This record gives sequence, C-alpha cells and structure tokens, in this order.
Amino acid sequence: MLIDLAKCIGCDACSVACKIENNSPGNIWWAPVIQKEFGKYPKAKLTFLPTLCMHCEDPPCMKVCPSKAINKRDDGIVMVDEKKCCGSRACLSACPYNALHIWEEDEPNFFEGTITPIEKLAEEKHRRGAAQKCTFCSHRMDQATELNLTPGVDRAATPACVLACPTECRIFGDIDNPESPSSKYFDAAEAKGRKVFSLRPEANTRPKVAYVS
Amino acid sequence: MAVTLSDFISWTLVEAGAAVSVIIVIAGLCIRYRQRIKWVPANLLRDSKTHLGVSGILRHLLNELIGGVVLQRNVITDSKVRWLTHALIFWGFLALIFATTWVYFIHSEGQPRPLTDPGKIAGNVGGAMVIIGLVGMTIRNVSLQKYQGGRKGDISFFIVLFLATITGFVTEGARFQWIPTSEIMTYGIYASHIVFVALLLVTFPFTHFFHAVSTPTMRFFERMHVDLLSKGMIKEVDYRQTTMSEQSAAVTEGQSESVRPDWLKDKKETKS
Repeated sequence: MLIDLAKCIGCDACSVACKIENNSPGNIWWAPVIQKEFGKYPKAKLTFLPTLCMHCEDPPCMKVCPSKAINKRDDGIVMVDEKKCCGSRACLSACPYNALHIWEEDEPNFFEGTITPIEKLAEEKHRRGAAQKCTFCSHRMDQATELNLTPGVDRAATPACVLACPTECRIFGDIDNPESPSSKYFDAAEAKGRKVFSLRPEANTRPKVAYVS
Repeated sequence: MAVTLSDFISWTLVEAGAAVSVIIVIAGLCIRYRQRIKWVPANLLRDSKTHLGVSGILRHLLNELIGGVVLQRNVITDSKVRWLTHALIFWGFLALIFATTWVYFIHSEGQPRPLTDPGKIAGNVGGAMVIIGLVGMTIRNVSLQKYQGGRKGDISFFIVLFLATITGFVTEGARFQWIPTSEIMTYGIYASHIVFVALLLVTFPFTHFFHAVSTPTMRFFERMHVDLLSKGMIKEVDYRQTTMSEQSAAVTEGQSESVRPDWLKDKKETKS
C-alpha cells in the first residue's frame, strides 16, 4: 500500500470505514490518522499521518508472540488468530507502529447495562482479552482469489480504508504488477522526484506500507 | 546403584562444558535481546524514570516477576485448561531447577538419596507436573485444529523437554533398580538424560524456550507504558505514533533522509 501524505486531509473516513468493515470494538481503531502540530504561530503546521498495520516482511509481533497466534499468510498479510491469542501483550510492546490492540476484558460498553448493535457485532467478531489489528481486509483479498478480481482495482477486492478515502490518498495493489494502481502511482511519484519512504526503518521490520511525501 | 557423572566423564570436562553452555546462552540472549530492544520506544525507560521513579519501575518489575511469572497471573486468559497446562510445566520446571541445585550443592557425592530427600521430592513432583502439563498440551494441540502445525523451534523445545524429563524418571528407576537394567544401560540412560538437559539449556535462546524471558520483558515494558498513559504522565498519545509523525514530518520538510522500503528498491532495480 502507498499513502500519499500530500493528499490526506485528516478526515478520518479511512478509520471509520475500517471500523465499520471490521467491527473493531470500542475505542480500538485499526487505521487511525495521527494528527500532530509542529512549529509555532505564525509557522504552525498540522500534519496528518494515516496509519495501519504495516504487514511487515519481518514482523516483530509474530516473533514475540508466545502462543504463535500471529502468522503471515502466503500473500504477506500478517494475521492475528484471536482464538489462539493468550493475551500476553508481548506483541503490543514489540510493534514499532502501535498497530496492535487489546480489547480489555473490563472495557465497558458505551451505554451502561445495554449493548448497541455495533457493539454486538464486535462481540460476535472479536474476543475480549485477545490482540487484534488491521488485516488489510483479508476477507476481501480472499474474495479476490475466489472471484478472480484484482486487488486495488475491483472494489470488492480492495481494503475498506482505500475505498473510503475521498482524496484517494491510499493506493493499494500488487507493486510487482506494472499495471496495478500502486505500481503506476509509484512510477508517477518517482518521475516527479517525490520522496517514497517507510516509517521507522531503524526497526528493520521491512514494512509493506510506504508513504509518498 | 550409584551413578555419577564422574564415572564416565571427568569433573573438569563437566565444568568446562557447563561454562561453555553458559557462554552460549549469554551470547544467544544478548543477540536476541539486542533485536528486541530496538522495538521498545527509545524514551520509554527515560520517561518512566522521570515520572514513575526508580521505585515505580521496580514495582512494575516485581509485579511482573511475582504476579506474571511466578504466580502466572494474567498470563493466559483465553482458556483455563491452557493456563493449567502452562502453569504445570512452569511450576514443575521451577521444582526441577530447585532439585538440580539441591543435588549440586548439598549432595554432590552421587549416592542415591532416599525418596524423602527434599531434592528428590522436588524432582519427582516437578517432573510429574512437567509430564502431565506436556501431555495435556499435546492432547490439546493435536485435538484442536487451531493449534495444529508449529515452528521447528517450538516443537524441538517441546520434544527435548519431554525427553529430558522422561529420561530423568527412567534414570531414577534404574538407580533404584525398579527397572531391571544392566550397569551399562543405566549409565547410558543417565548419559542421555544429561545430554537432553544440556541440549535444553544450550538451545534456550534459540527455541520457543526463549519466551520464558522475552515475554515477561515485553510485558514489563508494556506495563510501564500503560501506566504512563493512564496517569497522563506523558503528553503524547503514544510514543510510537509521535515517533512516526515526527519522522514523516522531517522527511516531508527535507530535514531527514527518506528511507525507501526494500520492496520498492527492488522495483527500481528491476526497472533500471
């Protein structure tokens, strides 16, 4: 996935779309947009950084998981098996991108004594006490394989955050395919001399999400 | 039957082997930890010292060591059976460490000790706990689809621990002549027990056994992190988020060099 920082307006549509698609519970956001102010008036600046799990090639979360609940699929997507997770929290410390979250056992519902429909869905899909994170909408990727769709091109085979972005700052696809949207975008960015970079290279995790600035 | 290590190998060699094993374990731990520490936010310890104080850090460390490690509290939250098998193996292992230490310091002459000896009691009870735990874990892993398949490091640790415990019991049986064996066979069984125990220790940093130290360490860092956040002692939402924002802003402003990910470097090379 490529994320064009120049296009992001910090609307949080990606975060909300992800929440609706994956029913992440309560205050857990799998794809938050980090807002940060830099400088002082009159040179103050507000920056937006859309984040998600980087689906690292060398994922530290997978290495530290004592119950081997974190695995990498053949297509490179890093997945947490919530049923297998023992809730040790080791992955939370290990991830340099803050991409993993624990749904606390004692986290209250929004309204005391009742459960909203969206919370009910979260209860059905996720387990309290287990770690969870972005899946690159793996169910959509599975659909792509089943129906022979192209990720990043066909809507049914593209992550929800990508589809929801009004400025199309998230670009998804197979970078090795020269016809994919991400490949074309990368070529165009490079032709314009724009910087393409990954976050926290010092962690040496080889993230699969890159940013264009 | 008195069976001692010195009957078939000199004590100098035993001590030298132990020293080499310790060096391998320390080197392995350093290598593995060097990698782990990179993932921990750089200013976490500094801010913990400032806001929580040394006593606060020690409190978290003790909570993790006593509550998390020794008492196995909040270690495995998804299943009681899973927690029990893990706790049996862990507590059994602690008892075996006690038994080995007892034997080394209190009874080094190698004569078979009575079953009422504290070292013997700890060894037998601990060994039984480990075996029950391992059998329970195996049944669970084989019967539940979600646990099937594992990495080589995990399985090798599992097998070596099982063999070390079983050969320990067989050695005891042979020593007390509960199992009719010849002297040569008894020595062979004992030697295999020593080999499996040594293998277990030497491979410790490189197998799943490493989680015994790495998981409490990561949990300790997470405890401090959560404490700092919950008490509002750090202004930023999260260290990692701040680091990412600052890095991204620095690259955008041209104050920092952008590091291109490997998969895009490959693409560039392919194109050129």
